[in-house]
Amino acid sequence: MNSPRMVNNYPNPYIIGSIIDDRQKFFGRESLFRFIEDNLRNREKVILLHGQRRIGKSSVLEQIPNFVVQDQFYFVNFDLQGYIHLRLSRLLHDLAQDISDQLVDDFDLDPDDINLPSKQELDSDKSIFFNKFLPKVYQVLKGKKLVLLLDEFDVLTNQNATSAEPKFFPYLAHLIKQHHKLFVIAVVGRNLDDLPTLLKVFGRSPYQEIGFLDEVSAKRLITQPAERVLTYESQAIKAIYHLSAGHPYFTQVLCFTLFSKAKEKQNWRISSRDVKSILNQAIEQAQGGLAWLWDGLPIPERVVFSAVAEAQEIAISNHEPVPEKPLSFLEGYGVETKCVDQAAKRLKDYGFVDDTESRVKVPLVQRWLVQYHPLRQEILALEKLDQDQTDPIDQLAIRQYQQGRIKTALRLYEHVLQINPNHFSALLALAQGYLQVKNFRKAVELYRRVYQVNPVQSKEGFLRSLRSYGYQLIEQQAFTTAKKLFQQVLEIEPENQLAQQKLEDIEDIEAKIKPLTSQAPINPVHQLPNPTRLGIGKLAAGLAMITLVGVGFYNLSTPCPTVAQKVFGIRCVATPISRGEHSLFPRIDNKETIDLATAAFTNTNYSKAAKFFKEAWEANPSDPELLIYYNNALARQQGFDPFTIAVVVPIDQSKPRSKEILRGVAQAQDQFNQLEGLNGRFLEIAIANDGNDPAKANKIAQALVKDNSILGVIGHNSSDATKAALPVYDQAGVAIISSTSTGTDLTSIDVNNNVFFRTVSLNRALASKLADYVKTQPGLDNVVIFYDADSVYSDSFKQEFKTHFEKRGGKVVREIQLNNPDLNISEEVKNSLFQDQVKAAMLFPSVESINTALNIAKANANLSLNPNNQDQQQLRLFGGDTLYSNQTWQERKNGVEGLTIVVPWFRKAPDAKDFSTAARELWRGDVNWRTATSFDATQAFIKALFQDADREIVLERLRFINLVASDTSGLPLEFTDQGERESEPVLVQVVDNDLKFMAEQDEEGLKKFP
Amino acid sequence: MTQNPFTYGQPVSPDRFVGRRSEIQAAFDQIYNRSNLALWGGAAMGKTSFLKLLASPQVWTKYGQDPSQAVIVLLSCESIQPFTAPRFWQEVFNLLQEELEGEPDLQEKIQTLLDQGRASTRGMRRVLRKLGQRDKFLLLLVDDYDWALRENQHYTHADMETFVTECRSIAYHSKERKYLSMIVASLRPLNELGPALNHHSSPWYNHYLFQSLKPFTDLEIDELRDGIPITPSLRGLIREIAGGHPALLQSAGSLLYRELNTGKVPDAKAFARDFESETRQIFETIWKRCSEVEQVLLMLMALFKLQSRLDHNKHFDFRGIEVIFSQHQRELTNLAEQGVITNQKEPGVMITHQDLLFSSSIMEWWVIQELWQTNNPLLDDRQKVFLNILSDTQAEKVTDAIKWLWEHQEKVKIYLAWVSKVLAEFS
Repeated sequence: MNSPRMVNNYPNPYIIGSIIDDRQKFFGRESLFRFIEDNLRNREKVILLHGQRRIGKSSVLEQIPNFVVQDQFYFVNFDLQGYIHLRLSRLLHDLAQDISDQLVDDFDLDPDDINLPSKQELDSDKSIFFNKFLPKVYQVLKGKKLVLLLDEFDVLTNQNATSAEPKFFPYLAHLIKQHHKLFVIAVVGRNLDDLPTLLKVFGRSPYQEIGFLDEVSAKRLITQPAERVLTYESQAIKAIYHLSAGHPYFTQVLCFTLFSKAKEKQNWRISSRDVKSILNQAIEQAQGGLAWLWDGLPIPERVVFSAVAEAQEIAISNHEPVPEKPLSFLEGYGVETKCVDQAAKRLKDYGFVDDTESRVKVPLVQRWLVQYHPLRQEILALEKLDQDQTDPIDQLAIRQYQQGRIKTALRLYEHVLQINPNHFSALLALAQGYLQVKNFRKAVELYRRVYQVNPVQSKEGFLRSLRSYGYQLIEQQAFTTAKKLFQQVLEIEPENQLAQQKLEDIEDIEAKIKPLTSQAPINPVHQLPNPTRLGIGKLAAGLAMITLVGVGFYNLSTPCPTVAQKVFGIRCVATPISRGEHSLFPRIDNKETIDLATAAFTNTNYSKAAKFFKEAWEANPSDPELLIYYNNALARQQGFDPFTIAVVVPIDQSKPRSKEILRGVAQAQDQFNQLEGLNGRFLEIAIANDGNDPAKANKIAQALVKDNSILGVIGHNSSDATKAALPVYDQAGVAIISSTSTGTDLTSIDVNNNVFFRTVSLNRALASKLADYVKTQPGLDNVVIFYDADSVYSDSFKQEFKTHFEKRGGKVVREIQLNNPDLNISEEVKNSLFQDQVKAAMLFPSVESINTALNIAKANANLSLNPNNQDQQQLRLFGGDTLYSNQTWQERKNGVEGLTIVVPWFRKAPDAKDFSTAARELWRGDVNWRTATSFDATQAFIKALFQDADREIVLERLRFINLVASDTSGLPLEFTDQGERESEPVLVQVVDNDLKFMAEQDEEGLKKFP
Repeated sequence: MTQNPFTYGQPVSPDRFVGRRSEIQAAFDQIYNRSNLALWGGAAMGKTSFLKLLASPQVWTKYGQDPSQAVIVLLSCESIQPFTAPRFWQEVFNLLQEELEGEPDLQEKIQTLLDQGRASTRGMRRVLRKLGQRDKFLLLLVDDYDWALRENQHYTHADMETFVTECRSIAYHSKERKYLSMIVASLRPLNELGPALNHHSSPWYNHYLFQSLKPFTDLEIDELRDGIPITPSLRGLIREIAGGHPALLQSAGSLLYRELNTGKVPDAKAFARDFESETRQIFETIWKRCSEVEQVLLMLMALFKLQSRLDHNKHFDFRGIEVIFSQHQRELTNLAEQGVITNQKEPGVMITHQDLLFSSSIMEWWVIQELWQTNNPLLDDRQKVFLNILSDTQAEKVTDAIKWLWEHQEKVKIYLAWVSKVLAEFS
């Protein structure tokens, strides 16, 4: 065994990148040399050898003198590579020079003995080379034949070459014919069939391929160069041979790297594990040889080469014996394979892939491809095919699209795809376009393909088109196909609840249809049973009710001039939505100015409209509607389209409450527009009136989503109205922020695609705050609750209170329904006090039953007048946020003194001061929580605005809104995943006909009564 | 005061050279076989120092090689302005002449060739043959080879093609190749530089063994830091700010050495300030050399890292954007090879953003600063790049995040301030 010191200095015997001069280091190729020798002896004047790059052609050429008997031949090696751009005379000069130099050395001549022609001489007369120079050479060689070993022979077949090429091959052919002592052995890097020029001149010459080494030769190449130092385990040899497939260059690279590693680690025994561990390093060092495999290939071959490597990788990791064929594999990636269908065959001809066309011949190359040329990225290059034809059309399409001529653009994109079906950008643009023009079927079809190629950029669009098409199909009652679409949504997003829900709904309907249809098999024209009964109505309600909106009901895009009202009978005045076209409130004061303003607005004379609205508002500064319309008129004067948000208020039910909400909205709008909006784009507010009527609320919602200019909605007021409208927004993907609906069960159907937000506390928060407080009051362990069972809000408030109160050990003795038409108020109060022995009553009216609740307070106060009530006993009263209203303590003074109410916000709370001061200045009066939460809702939308924002962007941005306290009515604003605001409600009490903030808090977070 | 053992701003001298043992070994193996080596690595990765090392006879002896046969010529293509093939060979001839002091007749021969204007590959072959006759060979070390691989006014595409093929011819085909070993150094692997391949001939670069200079390994970093007695946590700090980048490590080491040797309390601020200003050039070069897509990937990486640092508040929304990394594996590999980022996965395994780290925390800081410096028009340009690789919504999310970054510079600075870490270490 060698001493470590000795092996330490042993140079690496493997050779990468150099021609092998040393006969001892050259292995294999015995039959090739025999072929050459036989042909030379048979007086074959030209022998052609071909093989792929790095296969060892130059080394073979170099070794010919060593392996072929030299007695009759004299070999001179010459490389043509540098002559692509040089003239024939220069080539001949250099060839002569090389021959001469070698003769001078070998025959010990004086350089002057050979008449070496100068460049100038050859320039003027090329025949000197064969007339004078070569005869002199033959003379020196004394009967031996001159064999030119020409490397890079095919270099001069370049058709663009300006140089020697056109003349060199005929010149050489002529020479060979004339000079019987001149022979040529030439190597080419490609198959002769690809070289028509050469084939024409030398096509009949003997021709042999230089291929991979056989296993025996490869084994010798692996072991012999380092046999004195390295010991290869047989598995290691097997692994090397497997990886290199007997390709000499890759074998050398692997062994070179193994040797370096062995030397570094001083571990001279090579196992198969060692081979595996150096693979990546070997690949890196072999870049010089590997890069060509790629750089030399046209795009279709590259893509197929990558595909073969990738499919093979998958087969290897799945332990499948046969990889998928590259073309079908590529189809799985969305590639139209017609343009690449010849590529696999060509790769086989080049010897890069095996005969099955589905394996890379050299496994090391396969590994390299997977690492350096991942298929997903390489596929995109297919777009460049026929670029000169597609580019101008594509550019034109982009311009048309940008200018809004979408249909023209789509036609152009189709044209691009006709030329190159793998123009993936055009494919994506086309899919987007069809989605935009609502051709969902087409959009789905296109996205399906583009998603395979480019999932990143197409996922959102694909999902959207699947959903939209699904809805459309449900409407058309094509359930089977619709199901497939929602199933596909689930394949992409397994958690998508909307899709899950739709699938369940469809199955429900199908289950109902089935028995019905099977009962009536003989009826040839069977009509689908009543859709409502089957639940299709319900299903569609959330989906595409747009179509159900009556024409006469509301038409946003056409402002309604007086003439039209008469001619078409459209009831414009009753139109429940306005941006300034008319006032939604009954007007007495200022009527003339307002009429002038709305008329100007309708006639798009916005500067005039602004002037009059401003005038009207200044005359009545607490009126938010006028300030909003003033700002709307300003917004339309800016030259940019404004951003539009709608707000839905219950004017028909409560004008004061509507105004409270509008004040918050108006204040935020005014503030935003005064600061020049967003890059000059102002905010416009569309006001809608649903009167808190659920049916109306739903219709309003449909009208709003139909108007694409509306980016989001603030509203509705009552939880019941919001609940009725929410499915419409849900379906359309329009964000809605309620500033007043506290009902706990309000939420989007699809939690992952939540569109519902609120800036007001949940009932849960309000009720638990109140429950905590009541429970700490002495003697108030038992209570009765008055509530409205017909109201979502009231019912949920009651339930939340009960849960929390009982959790803290309290008891709800009785629940009394305010909506009971037979309710006897004074009886109930008396019974509570005397029969139930409770000391407190909870008043949780809906907005509809506020008066009833206030009558309870009155009855309670009147009890003290009851002669039977000697102790002057009364119920202590507590209430929910609906009771917070001037009505409560100003109009109905009777009985509300001491009433404690829980509210989301109170102007006298310290946090709220800045906002309430600003609000008082603007409105010349105090504002309440509805104004505050509505202000916050508007601020949230404002922060979500964005250059070119559409509904989707606004919705997405809302989810991540983060407002600091100075941007809101006093508390920071962020939404939870469910769209809820996490904020602490406050308690207020009616004291001396006014409201007092119950500020003091003890350690447990409870407020003490002052 | 002892001499500062670190070198910054210039190549490291052979006696201070650290690490790169297997790369040096590979170079000597190639030299021994009279083969050729193409060295490549990012900016200031130590290529010039490496070539200087190979030019030192002492190093040869240390590695058990006999330097007596070698005539070593080291030149930089950047110093030949404008680069042309004749000027390159003239420079080689001139330098070679200087190296052959003991061989006056050879010097004369070279002078004659120079005088006759025959300083070319042909002339070179003559010289090599003469060298071979005296049992000598030429080791040609060519730095900044990139300059020979781009056109200029005096160097057309055809000139370049001829130059590189002639280089291949002399180093690979000619009989005189036995007396030549050529080592070139460039910023990127040769196949990404220079003239496009001619399908009819061998690639001009395929006779080179490719060897990349990567960031230092942990062992090499330790070896370098052994030059200075410091606490383990200070070592950690150097590691964090310099990664394995040799020039950054040298700079950090050198400045730290200065601070620790003043005899006074080390000045953390001066250290931080000087380190940033000394290394700015390097980061700028790295940044500018990145493609647009690579820049976007670095930005996204920085934003992802920032988001995970800034507690769990949803300051900006990055959901769904991570898939972009799976679509740009090649660029990520590229960035990792250049030492800009570190990939903790094995090569060939799908890289996700969690696998990626910035090699130097200052680089991360630099990318964030780059985002701050992106003004509105620049952001529009970036947006176009975003839109090429992201969906519309994703692109907007990224733009939003960048705007958020603009508005919260102070907050971000706190999280990324490394000066405070230096302060903590120094106090």
